[in-house]
Amino acid sequence: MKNTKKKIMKRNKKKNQVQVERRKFIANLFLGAGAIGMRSFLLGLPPAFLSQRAIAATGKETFLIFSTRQASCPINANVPYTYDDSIGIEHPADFATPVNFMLGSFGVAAAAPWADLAAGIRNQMQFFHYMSQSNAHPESIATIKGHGGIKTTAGNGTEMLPSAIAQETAEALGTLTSKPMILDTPGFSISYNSISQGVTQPGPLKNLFASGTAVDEKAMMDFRDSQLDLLYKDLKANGTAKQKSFLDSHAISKDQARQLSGQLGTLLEEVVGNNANRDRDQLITAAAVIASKSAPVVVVSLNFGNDNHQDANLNAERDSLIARVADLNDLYSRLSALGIEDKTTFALQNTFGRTLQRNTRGGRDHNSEHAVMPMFGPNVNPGVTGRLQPVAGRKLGGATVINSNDGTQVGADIARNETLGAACKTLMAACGVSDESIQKRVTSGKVVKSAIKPT
Amino acid sequence: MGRIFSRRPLRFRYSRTLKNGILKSGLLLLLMMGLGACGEFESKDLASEPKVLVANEMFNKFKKAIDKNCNACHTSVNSLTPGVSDFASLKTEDDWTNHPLKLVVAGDLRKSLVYYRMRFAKTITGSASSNMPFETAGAPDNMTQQDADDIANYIMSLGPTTVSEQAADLGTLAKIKMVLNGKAISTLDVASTLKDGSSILIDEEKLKARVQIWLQEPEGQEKLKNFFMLALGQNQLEGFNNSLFGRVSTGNNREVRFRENMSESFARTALKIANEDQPFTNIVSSRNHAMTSALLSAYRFVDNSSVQSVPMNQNTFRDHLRALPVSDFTDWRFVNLTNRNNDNPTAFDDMAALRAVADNEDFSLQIRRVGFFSTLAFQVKWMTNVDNDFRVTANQALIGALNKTFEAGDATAHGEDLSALDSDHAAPGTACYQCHRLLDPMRAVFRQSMNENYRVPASGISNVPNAYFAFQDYRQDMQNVGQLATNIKNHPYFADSWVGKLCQFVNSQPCDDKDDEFNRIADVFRNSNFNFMTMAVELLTSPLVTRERGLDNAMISISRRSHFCRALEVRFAEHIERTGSASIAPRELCDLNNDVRSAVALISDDDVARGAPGFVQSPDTSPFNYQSVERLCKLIAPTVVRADHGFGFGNTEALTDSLDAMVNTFMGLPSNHPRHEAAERVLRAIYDKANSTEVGLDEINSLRESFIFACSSPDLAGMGL
Repeated sequence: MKNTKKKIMKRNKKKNQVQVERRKFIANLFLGAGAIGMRSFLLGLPPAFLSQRAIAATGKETFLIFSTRQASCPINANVPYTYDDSIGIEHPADFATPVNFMLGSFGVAAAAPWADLAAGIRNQMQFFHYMSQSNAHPESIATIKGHGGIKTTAGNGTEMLPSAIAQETAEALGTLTSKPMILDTPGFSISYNSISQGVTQPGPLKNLFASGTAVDEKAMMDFRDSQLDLLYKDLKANGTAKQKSFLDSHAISKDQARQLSGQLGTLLEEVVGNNANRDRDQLITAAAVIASKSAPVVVVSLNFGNDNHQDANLNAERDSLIARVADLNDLYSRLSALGIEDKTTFALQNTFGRTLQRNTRGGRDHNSEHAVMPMFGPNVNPGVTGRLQPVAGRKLGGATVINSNDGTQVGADIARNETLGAACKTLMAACGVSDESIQKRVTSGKVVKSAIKPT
Repeated sequence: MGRIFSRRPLRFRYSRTLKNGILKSGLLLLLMMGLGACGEFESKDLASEPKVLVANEMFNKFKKAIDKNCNACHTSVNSLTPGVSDFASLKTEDDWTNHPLKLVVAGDLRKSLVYYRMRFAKTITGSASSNMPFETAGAPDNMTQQDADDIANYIMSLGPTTVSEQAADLGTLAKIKMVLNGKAISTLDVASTLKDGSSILIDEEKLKARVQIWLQEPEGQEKLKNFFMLALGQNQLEGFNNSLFGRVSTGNNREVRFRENMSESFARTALKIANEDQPFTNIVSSRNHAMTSALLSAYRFVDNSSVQSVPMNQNTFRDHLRALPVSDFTDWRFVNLTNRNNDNPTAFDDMAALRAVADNEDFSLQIRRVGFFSTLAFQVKWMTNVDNDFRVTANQALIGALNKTFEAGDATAHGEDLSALDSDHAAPGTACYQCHRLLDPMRAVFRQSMNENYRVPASGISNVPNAYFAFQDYRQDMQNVGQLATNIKNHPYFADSWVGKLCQFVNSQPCDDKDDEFNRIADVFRNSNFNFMTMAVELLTSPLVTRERGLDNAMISISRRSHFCRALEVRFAEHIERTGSASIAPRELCDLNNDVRSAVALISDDDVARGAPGFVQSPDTSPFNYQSVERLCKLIAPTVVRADHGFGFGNTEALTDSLDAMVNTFMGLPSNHPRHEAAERVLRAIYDKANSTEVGLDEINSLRESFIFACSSPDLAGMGL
């Protein structure tokens, strides 16, 4: 009996080794210099694009946690430079007086919670003022495509910003896929190559990978996998292109799932999985996705006060800002504990900003003239890009023109209607995308040099 | 049979590639030869430099016409139509011909966006969107017929192009049946649809009879109902706190039933309209709605002028729901919603009176409720507020019926009275103005009977600006919601909209609405007095679906959540019925317990997005989808595979029957399917392995291992392998 058990264990061990080898094989497919075709298939990127990438890689590529929200929160109302009296900007009562603090060596004044950001974040943080040129929720897709200014890998058509960045950085980062992973519904569907991507909610994701796999279960799982290959072998060889493509994708997904199940489980332990912890759960999961190299970009949807037309006392705006700053600090400590803080960029871009003065009900309305993109990461130079200006006759507040060298409005070479493009380009640069690729992928605006650490 | 590649404009391309380098053109030549697509290619063209000049001249004229007439708007981020904006950045022929928005489709003026949108488009008549260019601030319209002809000449010089098509095979059969009713294809399905002499390809004409049957089966009716829920924007209502009802949470059984009732209500109405061969346009105007007593109570609850807004945290209606018996959520009947002018004393909680409302009886309400866009489901899903002021309501109503949204490029003239136009968007020439001049007057009709919480206004209606319907070249006066419905019904896009919606639902990606076949089916729909079933059969057996004609990226989609879950349920029920095994109630396998619900949550599902026509569909597989499907199958295996559910194992015959059922009923590979035998061998191998001393599972658990394989196999986890 004992001998039989030993034999079984030995056999299982051998089997496991085979599986490990197989995974190594899959992993090597990503790395081999002459395997562009296979890497192209695995990453879902055109071969021609990958061969260009080999030349264009900068070595500065980072993962990206990208927050976007169709509801469009009032995050733009309490950041540095929103305490300019000439515009008459209104704030929640508790934030009426700004707090002075440093972004690296750049002194700013803003609502108190921002000063509570961890030093590690503040030392690599930019607030980028821009105008989104969108004023309605359904314009979310247009905005995230830079109003048609963000192009596909071929340089034509349109792509969404997080997908474009993912395509540019995936190979250098060695991720399982080049597609962004979507953790919450931002109110619209994130597409990649024009194909909608599904949402992977943190709670169910934790449950999916939490249970682990018993030894006998694993043996059967491995056997089922082998039978799967056997059953569809003929179809893979002789089927139609779409049959082959589906079977290949299915097989790759299976291998990736097996690989992830060993890694994601413990990283997701602290996910709670309820609405109260929705934002924090997303950030915990984002860190796990990056640590496991599952995807180059993780899309989250952080609530900084939501669609607050009727936020009479701006209490929701106040409470959300306090809570999210705490969540960002928590994120940074997680990234640091995992040793990936120097490989991760965070940025937030909503569909539009909100009016800097309040409406008759005390809340804020939509503002196409001003939005802000907070971002931090290893390639980000701390400071503020763009400034604010009044908008005649309206309670908006608008973003100024920008000087692409120093980020101020003096001597500007970026027009107001190109500031969204400039924000997209600068974020791409922060994620380590080469200048050549940035110019090809985004047609308007310029990279703001002062926002990016010099090489 | 694989994809038929589009034939490119060979002469010009070949000549141009010569310029780009010998290697590239050599590869192209090899590719062309390999495809057997060299019919038009002759060696003399190698030296036909004059033709290159002609081609370049044509392109130059094309570019000149575009620059002159289009670029004032379609250039840079200031464009009025974001997304197709930057024509100036399209410099080469490839930029134009490869553009994903099909700006130029070689040899096809009907499909070339830059041509068919023009007022001067010669061969295209009656198109509601042939309105370019139009004059805007600082950009006068100076286009001439010659400019349009220059654009046309270039496009035609690139043709002809063959439309891409897939083979109509057994995978097609599986896809259509999976989407239509969720059941597996049967031996009869295969035998009656195969092309003569083929074991794989199917005959679309023979398919018609099967499709008609599948649509009428109870499972087909259920799937149609789900389609209507999705297409009419009544689906996936989550727990909410809103000013209509206060708090309605997620977990409680009665609240879940209430949300399901709301979602189902108009889908049942639409299904009735389709089944009774009524004009399907009635979905926009019908006042005969499917109701339960719980729903009638809800309509009464909001139809009360003394409550303008329910506090978000109020539990009054929730507590009322929780006290209702289950029967109040299942007693469906059709009720005629009529108008009344004052508060009716019948209270929302007078359940005896509400239960007494019989089939086809009148039920009067102060709020005028007409068609799908005034249901509670629609209002809960598309909440408005003081600032939005019914814009979302109007826009989603158009998307639901016409599959179109407002766009700055819509040059339809607005009504004379623009008093409804919001002053923030009133500057002519801006992108805001372009949409709001049409949208704002349209939404005014909703203000006449509702406040921004979709409740009865406190003191009657006053100061409502004049309404007007102007959308995609269709203009009509209107004064109320009923006339809005009439205008939508009469809109020329109605037929195209529903062909497009059903086509996308089945193909998992938008179909080509410029394809001749698409237009033919839309005509069939119109000419049948908008008979939905006639259109559905025509579409589902047409090359648009069977051969995925013209799809940008023909692919096999994953079985998205509702399709996968429904397939599991109906196949399980079919198995139970076939084996006559146990008198169990049909089980909602994806709703068995929290673990199952959690696993299912990561399988992406179809949905609609605010402001966006069409559906949100994620056809791609991913490791998370794979893992979720496998985990789901593992979790439901003990419920499905039991000896008293017809899964025997005591002897060879019983075991064979069990495995056969898994292959036939769950994987959808009947005995005359080419993969049937191999699948059965694999399931047996898995059973043997699990039941071996090495692994040591007992018989029933070994069978469950085989089931997990069948359940998570690409045949069931994909649609149309």
